[in-house]
Amino acid sequence: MNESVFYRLRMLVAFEIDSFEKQLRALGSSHFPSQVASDFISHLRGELSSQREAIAQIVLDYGDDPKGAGSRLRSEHRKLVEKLDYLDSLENAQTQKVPWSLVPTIERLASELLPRKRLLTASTSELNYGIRWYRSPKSALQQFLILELPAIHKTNAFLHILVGHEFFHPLLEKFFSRETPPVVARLRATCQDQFAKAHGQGDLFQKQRLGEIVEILRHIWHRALEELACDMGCAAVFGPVCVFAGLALASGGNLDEPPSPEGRFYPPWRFRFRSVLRYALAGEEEGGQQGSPLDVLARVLRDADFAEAAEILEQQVQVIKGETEQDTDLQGIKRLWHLRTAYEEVEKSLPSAWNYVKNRAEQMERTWLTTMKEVPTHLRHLELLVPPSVVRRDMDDARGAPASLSAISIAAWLHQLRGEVPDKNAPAETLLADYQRTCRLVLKAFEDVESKRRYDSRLQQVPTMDDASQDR
Amino acid sequence: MSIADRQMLGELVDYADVAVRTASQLRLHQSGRAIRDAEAVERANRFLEAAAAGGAFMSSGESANLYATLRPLNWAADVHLGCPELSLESECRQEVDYSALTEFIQRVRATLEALTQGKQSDPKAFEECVGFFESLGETLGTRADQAMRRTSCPCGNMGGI
Repeated sequence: MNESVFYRLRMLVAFEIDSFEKQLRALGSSHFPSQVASDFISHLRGELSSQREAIAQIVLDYGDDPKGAGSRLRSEHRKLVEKLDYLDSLENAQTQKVPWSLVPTIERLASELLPRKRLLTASTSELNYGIRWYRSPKSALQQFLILELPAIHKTNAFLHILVGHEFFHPLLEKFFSRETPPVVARLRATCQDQFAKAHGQGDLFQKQRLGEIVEILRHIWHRALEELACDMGCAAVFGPVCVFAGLALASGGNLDEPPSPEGRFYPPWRFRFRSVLRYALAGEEEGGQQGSPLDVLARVLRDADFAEAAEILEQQVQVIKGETEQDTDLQGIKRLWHLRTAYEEVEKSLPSAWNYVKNRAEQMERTWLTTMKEVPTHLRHLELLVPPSVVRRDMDDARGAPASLSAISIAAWLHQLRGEVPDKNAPAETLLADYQRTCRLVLKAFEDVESKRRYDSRLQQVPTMDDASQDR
Repeated sequence: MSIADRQMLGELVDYADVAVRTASQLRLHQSGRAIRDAEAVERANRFLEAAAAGGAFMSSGESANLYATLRPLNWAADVHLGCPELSLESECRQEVDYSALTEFIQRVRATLEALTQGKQSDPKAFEECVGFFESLGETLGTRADQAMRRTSCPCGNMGGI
């Protein structure tokens, strides 16, 4: 690199680092709903200092290796530009930009599944939930995860269950390192056959290398299985409401949208719902006399005089089953050789993916399977417009215990659907007002659950009168 | 930019960085300097290991040592075949002799290991090794730059069609 260009780039990067640092300092004085953002800012500032040191060394090396120094400086610039996204994340993680009352609850849920990670919750202008993490092995930033919620749905408590899906993404790396080699071996064998058949016909296979085709098919398989595993993991934690929330989000698009490069090879929604119903909600092994977990939930509701809620649950499950019985998504997949081949492997990998996420979910303190008996209590609270945050064992249990997030979510969805279905001809404003009121009750309940947990844990640390007299 | 795109971008930026740092370390080492950036060299070595495992798998079908992705192999192939960026030109899309490619990767790896252990290597092998990392850095860095660039474009009603 020419010396003059090198020093111009050096000045550009120095300016950018300085400006980045100033913006971080300004963000440091903003209000965030938890400590994570401040710690993230400190680590980012540490990264900027490391980059400054690296650039100082590059300048020293320029005399001996001008070409290498130029390439390294360009790389430092590229690394800085890539980090600019973090400024947006921090900007959008401020208290007024996120459902702040939910943040401590989300962080606790994440800590159960991802114990050594720290979660920064931010909003995004995209209509999508997502999670990002930094994989660079030497960087302290790798302890942070950035969870993105769609800003437009900031207060839509019904959809926020989908954060459960996101928490499974970082958990799957170990699963894939075990699952991938035999799958890639089979894909290679299939591609080799196809390559031999199609060679010389002037289509895709003449223009692509075998290794590239195998990698594309592996990528399609990986993308599909990752999303499906996360869906099943979310269902293992929250139960049927993850499909209700997914369907609400997906209903604005085509449920059969085939995997494509433009769609980042996402599996079709219909395929996703089908997998959740078949594995996470069917309870084939747990079934037996009791039936599926959904049958057990319906029975719990009926036993507590909530027959109408049980019917709504069954109707909604039927609606989703009806959607998944259509095979229009599969027709789209079968039409193209590369999708068909990759999805044959997806089908083979689904049982082990389900076992993996199920085992992870079972390590959690509570899932919907262990807390569904709370649902009738929460339905009663919601009918009385009380946030469903506490469960009391009996009348004498004045303090009660914090409710589970899955039971609150199930109760909220059933409460909402009970009101929605008979009143579907009511004015939109009325339906929306009811929906928003339930959202507020649920957000309040999520907040109360975490406050109560913290209060209870502090109470255990405070010495009682008995302790004091024993000490004496 | 979607999460998946960002992850792919992160990988490109990271491996481009490892490649340019390694190439520069080798050049500086050749002019008598000690290797300061051992982390880059170590990661470059692991990249070559993953690429070679991918190459061995593609030529034999044996998946025992395979990593989770064939991307290092494909990137190494792009550099070896001289594809500066994603291209549809036929010479970049030719069939690859994966055994020969694996041999090439192993040779670059052996040179890298010898250089970092302070052993002498012949000038041709040295240039091949440094040239590989320089091209890899350039190729991946260019792809990352392309992925980060946003173009100006209209949105909304495109003329009432």
